[in-house]
Amino acid sequence: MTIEAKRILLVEDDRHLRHACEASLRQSGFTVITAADGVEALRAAVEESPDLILLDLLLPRMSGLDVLRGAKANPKTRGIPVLIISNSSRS
Amino acid sequence: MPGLHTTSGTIGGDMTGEGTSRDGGRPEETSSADLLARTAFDFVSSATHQLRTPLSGVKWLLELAARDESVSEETRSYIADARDATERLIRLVNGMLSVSRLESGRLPLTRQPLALDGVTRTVLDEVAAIVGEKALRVTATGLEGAPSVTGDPHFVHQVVLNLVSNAVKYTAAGGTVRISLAAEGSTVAWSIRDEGVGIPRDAQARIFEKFYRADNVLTLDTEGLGLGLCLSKVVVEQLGGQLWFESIEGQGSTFSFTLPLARRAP
Repeated sequence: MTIEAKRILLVEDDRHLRHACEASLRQSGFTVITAADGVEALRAAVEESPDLILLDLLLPRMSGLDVLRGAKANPKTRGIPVLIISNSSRS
Repeated sequence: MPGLHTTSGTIGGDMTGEGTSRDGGRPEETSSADLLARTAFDFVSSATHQLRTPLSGVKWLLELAARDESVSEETRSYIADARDATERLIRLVNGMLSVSRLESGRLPLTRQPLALDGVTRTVLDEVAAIVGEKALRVTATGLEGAPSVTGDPHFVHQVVLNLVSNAVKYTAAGGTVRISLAAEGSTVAWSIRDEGVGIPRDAQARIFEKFYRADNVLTLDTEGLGLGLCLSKVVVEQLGGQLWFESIEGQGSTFSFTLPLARRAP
């Protein structure tokens, strides 16, 4: 599978960070699906079956950790690797 | 006291707690000064946290813009300046967040054996460019075979970087900066002597205050946030060491700190 065919679900609530991250990933050749909150993220994970989920932790409606638990509990999304991205340092 | 740990929105509400304790209605575990300090911490911590996300977005978007080859040379220089300014803001925000967390004890430092000679060499590599630009002579004695200390690798590196950067920044081109490392009893002492502008006598009591910068450096073409020394002192003291300086205006300064020796494995 080539890099072009890889689909990434980017979950980030901050509009500017989401834009920047999405643009960087697209420039690198990935197909990007975005979600701005936890509920949207879980729905997109089921509907879009991405190859990777990039997940922020502090999210509206449902936290990133709850999204992770939800994704791992669902047989349809259990196998998708999740990479947690967070802007907080050593807190 | 409910609401104390919430974010800036309830700071006004937190302050009312002070009134009840002063009225003497019931004994309070927390004094007004503690409460004020914690409220200030909550405010700084929350505000800086809120600043970080949009700043990261700005920096990242500017990096993307810089990659665009179709923009003119002039526009490229605007983007580069904007990116530098953003990085400065991010450093300021991170510095404020670190100081506030360290002071409140909410950023626990790790304690592990650490080789100060290695930290010093790494930092000297990091400042090699500016040392070369200013044709400074940097000497380091006692690095070979110096015993390890107990410390937090990230923050001790930050302390050494702050002190070396200051010495390099304030020493005029062609000058000499001298670093020394020596075991002293149950501690290791690290020291740096510069040939900089020195610290005026009336400023000496204030240089560890947040954002304080002595008058005689404001006129120099140097950048500084006024957080480095404050952060360094808090880090060293929390690790059980001491940080101090000796300085004569016009002649230079010597900054020193000690850290406890690492315990030998049995």
